[in-house]
Amino acid sequence: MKTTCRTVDVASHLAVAGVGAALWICWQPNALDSLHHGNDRAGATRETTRLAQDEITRRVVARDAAKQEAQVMAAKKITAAEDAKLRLAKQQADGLKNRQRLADLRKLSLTYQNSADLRSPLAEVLSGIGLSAQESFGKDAAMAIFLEWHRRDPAGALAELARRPAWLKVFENDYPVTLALGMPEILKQILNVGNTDHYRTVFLSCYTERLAETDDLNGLAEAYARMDEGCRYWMLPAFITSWIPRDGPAAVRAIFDEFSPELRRAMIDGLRNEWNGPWTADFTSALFQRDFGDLEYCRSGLKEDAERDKSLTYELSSESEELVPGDSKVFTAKPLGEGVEMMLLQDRDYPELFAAGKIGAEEIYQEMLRQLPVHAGEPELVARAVFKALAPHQPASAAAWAMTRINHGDLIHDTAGLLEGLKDPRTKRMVEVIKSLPADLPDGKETADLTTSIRYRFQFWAGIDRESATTAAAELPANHILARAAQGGITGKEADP
Amino acid sequence: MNARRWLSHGIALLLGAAIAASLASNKQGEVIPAVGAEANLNGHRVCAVHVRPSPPELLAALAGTPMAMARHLAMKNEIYADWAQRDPAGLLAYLKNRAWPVHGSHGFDRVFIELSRQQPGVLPAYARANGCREAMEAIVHGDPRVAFPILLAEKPGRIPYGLMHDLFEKGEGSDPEFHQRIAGIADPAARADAISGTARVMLENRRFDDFFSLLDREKDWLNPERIGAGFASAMIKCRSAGDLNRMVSMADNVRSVAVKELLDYVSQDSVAFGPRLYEVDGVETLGRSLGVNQYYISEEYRLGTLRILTEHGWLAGLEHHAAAAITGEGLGLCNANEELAAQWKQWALDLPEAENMKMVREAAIVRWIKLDPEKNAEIAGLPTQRLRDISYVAAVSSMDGWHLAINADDVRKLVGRIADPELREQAAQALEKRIAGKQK
Repeated sequence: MKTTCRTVDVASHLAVAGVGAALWICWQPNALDSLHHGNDRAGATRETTRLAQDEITRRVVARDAAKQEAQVMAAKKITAAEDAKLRLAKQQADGLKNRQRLADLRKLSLTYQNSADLRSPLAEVLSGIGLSAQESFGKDAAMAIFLEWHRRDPAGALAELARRPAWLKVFENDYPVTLALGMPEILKQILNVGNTDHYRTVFLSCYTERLAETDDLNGLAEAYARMDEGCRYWMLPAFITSWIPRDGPAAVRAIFDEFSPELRRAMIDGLRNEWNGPWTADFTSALFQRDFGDLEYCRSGLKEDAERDKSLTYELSSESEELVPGDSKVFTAKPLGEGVEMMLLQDRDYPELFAAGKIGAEEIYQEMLRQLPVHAGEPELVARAVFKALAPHQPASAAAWAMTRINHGDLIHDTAGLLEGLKDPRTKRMVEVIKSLPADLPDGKETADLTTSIRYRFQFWAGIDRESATTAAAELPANHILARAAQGGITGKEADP
Repeated sequence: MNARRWLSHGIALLLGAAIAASLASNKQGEVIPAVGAEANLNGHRVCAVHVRPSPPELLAALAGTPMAMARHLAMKNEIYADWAQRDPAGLLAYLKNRAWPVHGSHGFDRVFIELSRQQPGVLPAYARANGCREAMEAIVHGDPRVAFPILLAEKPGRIPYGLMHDLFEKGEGSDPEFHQRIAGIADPAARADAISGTARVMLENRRFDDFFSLLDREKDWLNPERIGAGFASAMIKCRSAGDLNRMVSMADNVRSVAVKELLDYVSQDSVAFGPRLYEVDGVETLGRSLGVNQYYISEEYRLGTLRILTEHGWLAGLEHHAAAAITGEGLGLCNANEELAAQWKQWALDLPEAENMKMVREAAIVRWIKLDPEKNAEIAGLPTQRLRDISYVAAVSSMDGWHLAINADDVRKLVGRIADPELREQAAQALEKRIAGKQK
């Protein structure tokens, strides 16, 4: 009975405690949430670490696949005629896309149809271009305004385009918009020497592109006859790069029978210098049946180009230089510093692990010696390279370790070299690094560039905030040559030694 | 229930509440901020299932994953580039006590540019606190209308040289009325900088009317050296000597700089202006090379420039420069012809008689005969002995090797016509030296 009573007693106390807890939870509505989420977040940290590892693995696999594909494609060869055919197909597909883009922009331009003043919205969108949130919209809007302006007043729109380099820049990179302009209108812009060179070049570029795209050799000949030397010099190579003749024999007839001698010469010469020539099978065969006359000397070069196999345009990335961890042979031909630098990022990203405090300098040094047996006889050189690579990350601990492995003279020399090569735009961080490393740098030729660079840094800093610059300079040891350089920069004159 | 029981149950009640509170707070304390977790609209954290790894977690995972160096760098760069774009301020905060990523991290270089677009107001403060030039200068990459008041809020004298120039160059490029803001700049150095950036856009785009109005409005603030030099280079780029007449409305101090620069330019066959940088998607890249960097100075342009400068009397005090420009040491002769040569001669003879123009006339006569040495028979008709003498010297020195080889005696006769004995002796010696050299 007594036991039963005690059990009931304990149970009732527990129940009351439960009620207490419940009351607290009711009074603190987020408590349950907080308990629940606390579990979630602790788990989330572990989860995100795992997810991060998974994500890195996924990216590595994707890169491997891309690299493999690139290798396969790079190994494939096609004939010049197949290459021309592929390029023609691409050009035609691009043509469709360009027309669609123009149609989309025209649709967008309707939004400006009721704007009496187009200057204000134009200034608005041009100033905002480049802002991440509206990058694409800004450019589209700028071109839509151009179309609307051009619809209302073609000459006025082009004059305004010439006045606003930012607008011209967008126009220049949006070829489909230029399809809204007639060829005579474009040619007029090119021929007007009152326009700036840049403006004329923009129009010359789209004019040439259009001629090539439409296979318009007559247009080419007419424009060529009217253009100045500078335009001609630019136009022909650009045309040849993009042009694929639809009817090879007709193109050859035009070049040999209709072009002026000057243009014919320039064309043949241009073809000879252009790797991506218009080498369709019927063009090539028709071309070599002709008598080249005084251009006969070009025949062999042209033949060589027309018969050269092409690689599909896939570039292997620099990752093809993959190294096998621990393969010391790879490094025998490299300067030791460079070898260590590579090895520090091979296998693991040791500087990053060092910065995160996950590995010590001595451990990394031993690892380098193991990975680079070829340099086993030069341990101090390896230590110096390790110091230079690690010091920017954790200067104080790198310096403390370096003093146990590197003689003082070399350490000073390396410190100067390290500071001179440090590409950190934050002078404040530079101060942190400088004050954590050995201070007795020599004051001479060896450190002249370094002191100049520090002086300039502080000169700039003092110019925008003298107080912060002065505070930072004061953190450097008083007898440090860089403290004097910093002071010189702040005061605008050389400090006394 | 007795009092003791009430008391013990009360304690149990409190204990239960305390345990619940303590558990909750313990759990909260364990939380390590999940950087990648995103806040939902109610401000509550989204729980684990939605969490994605943060850039620092990705970097940590990457650091410990074995792979080749090139790939390590490429992947690290990719993470930084993405982070710089999504949260540049967060990235900079992360780097506070860390080394600046340098290895092939061009993606990372965008951090300040992104900040200029997303939170430009942060940049000056960051630059001041860290002594960071890049942060300050990046402000011009954003919207110039937003950047302008930010820079204007800086204390006088604290805006780095060139920054207002770049800002107004960008602003005026988007909006030809952007220069209206210049009037609001009280800092003289910053204002001169803004004027020069604006002038550059106006000149580069041939907005000469706007340019001259600007000069008129801002005459008390502009930097004559920069404006004068800018005008001269624009004149060379548009290759229209006629536009030089517009210098009539220029202040003397600006015009004298422009004239001096122009004379320097026309003393060369071509002028190369440093490669122009264009910004493409936030990254500066070299512009087109055609006609942008290299400008050829034609003989017509050279003569046309000298003509206009003389007509307006703008060579006063710069005669030495003018003479040097006409006879220019490195000046070629290939783009001239007989007609142009004759025009030089006529221009020289038409120059005012004033003493200070003497050296200019002599230089022009030398240019004439150098361009057309076959016309040496006309030398005798020149009005003064000095002009005749220097013309004979120029004619003889312009004779090519072939001419000397077959007509040495005729050339010697030309030397014999030099009246000044000292000059004749010097010319004879130089000629014989050349002939002997050819014979060797």
